[in-house]
Amino acid sequence: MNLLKIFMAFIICVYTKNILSDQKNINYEKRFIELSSELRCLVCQNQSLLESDSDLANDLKEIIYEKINEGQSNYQIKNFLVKRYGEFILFKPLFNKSNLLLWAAPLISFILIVFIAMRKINYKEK
Amino acid sequence: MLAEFGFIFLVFAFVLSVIHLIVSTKVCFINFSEINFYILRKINFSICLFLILSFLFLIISYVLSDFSVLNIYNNSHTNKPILYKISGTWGNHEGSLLMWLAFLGVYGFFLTLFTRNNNKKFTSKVFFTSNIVNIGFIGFTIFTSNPFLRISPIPDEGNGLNPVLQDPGLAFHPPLLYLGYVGLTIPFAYSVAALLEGKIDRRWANEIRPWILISWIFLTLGITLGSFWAYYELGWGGWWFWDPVENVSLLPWLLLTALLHSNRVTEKRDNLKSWTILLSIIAFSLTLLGTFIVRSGLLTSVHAFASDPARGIYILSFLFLITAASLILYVIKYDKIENDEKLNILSKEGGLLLNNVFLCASTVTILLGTLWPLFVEVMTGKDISVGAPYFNLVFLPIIMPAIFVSGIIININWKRNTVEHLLKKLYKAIIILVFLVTIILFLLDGPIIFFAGIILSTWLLISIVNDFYEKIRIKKSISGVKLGKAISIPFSTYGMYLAHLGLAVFILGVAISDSKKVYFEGVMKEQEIVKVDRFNIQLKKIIEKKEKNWISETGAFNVVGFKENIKMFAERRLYLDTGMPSTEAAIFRNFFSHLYIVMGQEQPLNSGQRIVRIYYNPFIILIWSGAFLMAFGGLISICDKKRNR
Amino acid sequence: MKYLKLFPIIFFFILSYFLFWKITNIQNTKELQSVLLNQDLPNLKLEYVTGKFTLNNLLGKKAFIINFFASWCAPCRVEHAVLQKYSKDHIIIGVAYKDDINSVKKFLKDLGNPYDILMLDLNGRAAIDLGLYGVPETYFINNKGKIKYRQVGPLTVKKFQNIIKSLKVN
Repeated sequence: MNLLKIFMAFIICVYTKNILSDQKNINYEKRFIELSSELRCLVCQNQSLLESDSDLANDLKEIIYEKINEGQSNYQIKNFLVKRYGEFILFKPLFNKSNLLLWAAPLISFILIVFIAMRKINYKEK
Repeated sequence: MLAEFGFIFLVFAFVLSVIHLIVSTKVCFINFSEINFYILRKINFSICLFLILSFLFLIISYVLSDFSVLNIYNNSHTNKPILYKISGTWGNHEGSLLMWLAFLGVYGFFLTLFTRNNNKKFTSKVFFTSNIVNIGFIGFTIFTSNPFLRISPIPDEGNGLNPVLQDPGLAFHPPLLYLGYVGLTIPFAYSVAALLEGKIDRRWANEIRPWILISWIFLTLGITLGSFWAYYELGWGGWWFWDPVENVSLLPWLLLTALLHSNRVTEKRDNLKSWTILLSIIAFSLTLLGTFIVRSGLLTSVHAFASDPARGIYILSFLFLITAASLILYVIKYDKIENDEKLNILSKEGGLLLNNVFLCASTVTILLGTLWPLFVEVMTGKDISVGAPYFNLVFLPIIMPAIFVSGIIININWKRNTVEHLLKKLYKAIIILVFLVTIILFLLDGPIIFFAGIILSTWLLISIVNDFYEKIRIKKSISGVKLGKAISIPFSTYGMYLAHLGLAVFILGVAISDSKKVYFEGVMKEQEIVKVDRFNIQLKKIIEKKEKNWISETGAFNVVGFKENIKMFAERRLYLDTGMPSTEAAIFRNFFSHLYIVMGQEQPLNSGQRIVRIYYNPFIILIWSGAFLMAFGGLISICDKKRNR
Repeated sequence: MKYLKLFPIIFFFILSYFLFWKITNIQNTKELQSVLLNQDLPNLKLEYVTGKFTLNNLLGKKAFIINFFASWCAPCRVEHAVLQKYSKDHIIIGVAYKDDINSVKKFLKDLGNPYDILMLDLNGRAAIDLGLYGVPETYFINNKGKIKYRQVGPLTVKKFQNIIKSLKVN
C-alpha cells in the first residue's frame, strides 16, 4: 500500500509541475502567433495572417504587434479589425446568436447520434 | 483522329449504358432471365473498355502534344517533361472527369469479373445501380465538359500547366484520391441493391468488405499525398489547413472509416444493418458533394483551379436525384432490413457502435463547419469565415475519445463480456500505460494537447501488443507464450493491428510536431544570423536568376546546429505570364524532423531585407508515415484468404 | 421513434436547399461589401498635399469620391483614364497609398491630375481604418458623409456609370 501512496504522490507532483509550467510560457510572441493565426488574410485564399506574405497581411500584423505591446487584449484587437474588415477576418467565428448552431453542432450531433445508437443497446443483463 | 476516336468511345459508352439501363430495369423489376443477365455482363465489360480506352486516347494525345484539341492547348506545352504531359491530362476539369470515368470503368470491370458466381438476381441489381452512376457521369462529361473539343486554326504551342501543379506529388495525388472516391460507387451500389432486394445478411457484408477497404486505402493515400504536397509546395509550414477542399476529402474518409467498422459488425454479428447501408449511401453522396464543391468553386479555397457554376448545377442535380432516391428507398425498406436484435455495450460490437457515434458526430460537425459560411450568407447576406481554429477546437474533443475507445475495442470480445473479465485482460496494459505516461510527463514538458496525444498513441500501442499477447498466450499458464499460435491469427487481424499502429504513429507525429515546433518570423539582411532553437541560421546571400518564364531569388542559408553544418536554399519565383509568386521552401530532414525555411518578399521595398520564416518541425514525418502504415494495414487486411467463397 | 429513419432525408433536403440557392445565385456574386457601408466616414489621418478644398469642407455637405492609388501600382494607371474622364462632374479625392511625394507628382504630371484634393497615406494606416484591401480602391461618399459604395480593384467606365446610377436611385 505504501508503494501505491508514493506512486500517487509522484503522479500529483508531475501533473502540478506541468500545469504550472504551462502558464509561464504565455508571452507577447506567443500571443502574436496565436492571434495572427486566427485571422484571415483577406486577399489570399484561405490563408491566415501569420502564414501570409501579402502587403495587407504584413500591415495588419504590424498593427497587431503594436497593439499587443500597448497592452490591448485579444478581444480588443479582434474588435478593432472586425470593425474595419467585418467578421470575415475571423477564422474562429464569434460566439453569438447567429452562430449558435455552429458552436452547438458538435454537441447536438453527438447527442442525436447517441440517441439513435441507444435503441440498439441491450440494457437487460442476460 | 485520336481525339475523335476518344469522343466516339465516350458516346458508345453512353449509348451502351442507356441500353444497359433498359435491360437491367427489365431484369431487376419485370422478369429475370439468365440470358439477359449475361447480356448485362457483356455490356458492362464493353462500357468499361470504352471508358478506359477513351481516357488512354486522351493521355496519348497529351503525350503527342496535339494542340488542335482545346483542352490540350490550354493545359500543356511541348517543353514540359513527359511526366507533366501525362499528369497534365488530369490537371484540369475535363481531363480529371475523364479519369473519373476511366476509374469507374476499372472498378466496373473488376466488379463484373468477381461477381460471375454470385447470386444473379442480386448482382443484376448491383449492376443496375452502378450503371445509373455511370450514366450520370458520362452524361456530365459529354454534355458539359467534353475534353476532346477541337480548335482551329491549330496553335503551334500550348498555354502550359499551372506552375503550382507541376510537381510529382500533385501528379499522383488526384489519381489516388479519385480511386478512393470512385471506389465508393461499389459499396453504394451494393447498398442500394440490398435495399431493393429488402435483404441484408452476413454474406452481403462480407462481399462488400474488400471494396470498402480498397477505396479506404486509396483515399488514405490520396489525402496523405495531398497533405504532403501542401506542406512542401505551399510553403506555409503546416500539413493540414482545414481548407474547404481538404475538408470535403476528409469527410468521406471519416465516414468510410465508420463504415469499415460498422460493416465489421454486420459481417460478424448480423447487426447494425441499416446503419451500414446508410453510411455507404451518405459516404458516396459526400464524394459527389466534394466534387460539386470543388468543381463549382462554391467555397473560396486554395484549390480553385478549375471551377464553373454551370457544371455545378449539373453535378448538384445529379447528387440530389441519386441521394434523394436512395434515401427515400432507405425509408421505405427500413423496416424490412432492420431487425430488433440488440447488442451489449460491453462487447466488440457495442464498442464499434460507440466509435461510430464519435466518427459520425465529427463528420457532421466538419460538414456543418465547412458549409456554415454558405448558410450564413443565405440567411443574412453576411460574409464570415470558419477556419482552422474552429475545427481544431471542435474536432479534437470528439475524435480523441474515439481513439481511446478503439484501444479497448481491440481487446474486447464479441457478444458478451463482464467487467471483471475485461479488467483481467487489460489490467497489465493499464498499469503499463500509467507507468509510461508518468515517466513521459516527468521528463517532458508541453501543453495539454501534447500529453493527450502521447497518452493516446501509447495506449493504442499497448492495447495492440496486449491483444496480440493474449492471442498467443498459452491458456491457464501465467506467462507462457507459444509463437506458433501467431500463424493462426488471420491476416485481417494483422491488418487491423498495423492500421491502428499507423494511427498511433500518426497521433504521435501530430502531438509532437504541433506542440514542440519552433517558429521564427523576421526580416533578414545578407550575412545576418538568427538563432532559432538550437540552430544558428545565416542568410549567406541572395542569388538572383532569370529564366524564360520566371525570375527567381534564392536565399542561400548556412545552418549550424546539426552534426554537420549544412546549406539550404529557399527559392521564391515570380512567374511572368501570370504574375503569380510561388515559394519553394528549403527543407532539411534530420531523422524524422524537418528544418523548413521560406524566404518571402523584400520588406520594405529596396531595403535588401527579406521576410524569412523558419520552422523547426520535430517528428513531422511520423504524420505521413503513420498514414501510410494505416493504408498498408488496410492492404494486408484485403489479402485475408479466409474471406469469401 | 418510428420516424427516426426520416432524419437523413430531412437533413439532406435542408442541405440541398442551401446548395441550390447558392449555385443559382452565384452568377450575380455581390461585390465585396464593406462593413462600413452606410456608416459615417471615419476620421482619417492623412497628410494634406494640395487641393481646392479640405476634407472637412466637403464632409456632410457634398457627395465625393475617395480614390486610393499609388504610382507603383500598374492597374492604377489603367484606372486613371477613367477618373480623368469623370473628374469634371464629380469631386474626387486622391489618396496616394504608401508612396513618396515626388513619384506621385511625377505620376500626376505624366497622366494628368483628376483629383480635387490630393492627400498622402504614407504608412497605409488610414487605409486600414477604411478596411482597404489594396490599391486601387475607391469609396463613394454621399452628401451626408456616409459611405455608400466601395469598389475593390480598378474602376472601368462601365462600372463607374453603373455605380453612379445605382447611387442616384437609392
